Amino acid sequence: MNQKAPDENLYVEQIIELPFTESAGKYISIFLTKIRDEGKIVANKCPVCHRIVLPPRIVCAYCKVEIEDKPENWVELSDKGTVTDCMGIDDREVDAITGEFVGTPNPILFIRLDGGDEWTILGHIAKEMDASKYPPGARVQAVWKPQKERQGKTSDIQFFQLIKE
Amino acid sequence: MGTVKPIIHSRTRRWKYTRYAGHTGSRFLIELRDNKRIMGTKCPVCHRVYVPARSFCYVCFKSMDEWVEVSNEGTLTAFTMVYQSEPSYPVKTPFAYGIIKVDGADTGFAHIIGEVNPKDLWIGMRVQAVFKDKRVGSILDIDHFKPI
Repeated sequence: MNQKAPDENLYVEQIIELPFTESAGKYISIFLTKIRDEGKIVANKCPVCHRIVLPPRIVCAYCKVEIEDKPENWVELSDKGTVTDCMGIDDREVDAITGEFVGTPNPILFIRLDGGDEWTILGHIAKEMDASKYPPGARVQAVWKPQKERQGKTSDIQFFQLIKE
Repeated sequence: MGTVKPIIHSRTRRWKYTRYAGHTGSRFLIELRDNKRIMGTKCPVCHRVYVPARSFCYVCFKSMDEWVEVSNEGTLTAFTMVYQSEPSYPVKTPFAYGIIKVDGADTGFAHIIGEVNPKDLWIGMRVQAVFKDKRVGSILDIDHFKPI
């Protein structure tokens, strides 16, 4: 590089856009449609080990058997549950390109929904920012978005909030 | 649970960034902006003239210090029509897009071809650069190439 420096340094602006579309798949589509249209959380039940599989899957990960699409293989879970663990967000992920924060700063709850078994854990965000308010064993309930705003995503549940029982 | 309509989610990943054009790239763009000249660099070993200007010859790996002015006219060596629109495109679709080898250069570069019916395009066609009135120091200071 023995080029002389130019009189002025110029910069080039560029934009890259990658639009993409993905299908949620057969069972996840059922799961998300139930959330969107009925405000219900559904799960699979393995016909061999009777484990409750959440989110629903076509094959049980433990028994490697197909969970067929029969009414007896589907179970409906409550939107109330028990906190098994809570993860406070200390350092938020930053997008390396835009410098913006990714996601929300709310603590993440791992919730065992009523009607499920020890394997049924749903991860979702908590209402309040203070993670110490959600000790293991705390009872929480889902707060749903209004029917019109639901889009068929797990974010149709706004967050989980504490309830007294 | 019966059949449901499959759920499909669409998302767009978008990266917008600014990069330094480099010593050579800056000089090339300044010449375009201020003097409406297309400049190239010449390799001292193989005498190839690179347009747009590069700092080194990728065949001989030699630094190139010699700047040469090349013509605003050139020959179309390849072309295509663009119909699919993307937000990052500088012009509306459909437009013709081709590789132009300007007179005096040994390499071609891609640019928009305007003021032409797509059916009249052919390889070997003579084209001329049309500069914008308001130039900002970008390869798009050449608005398009038009047939002569």
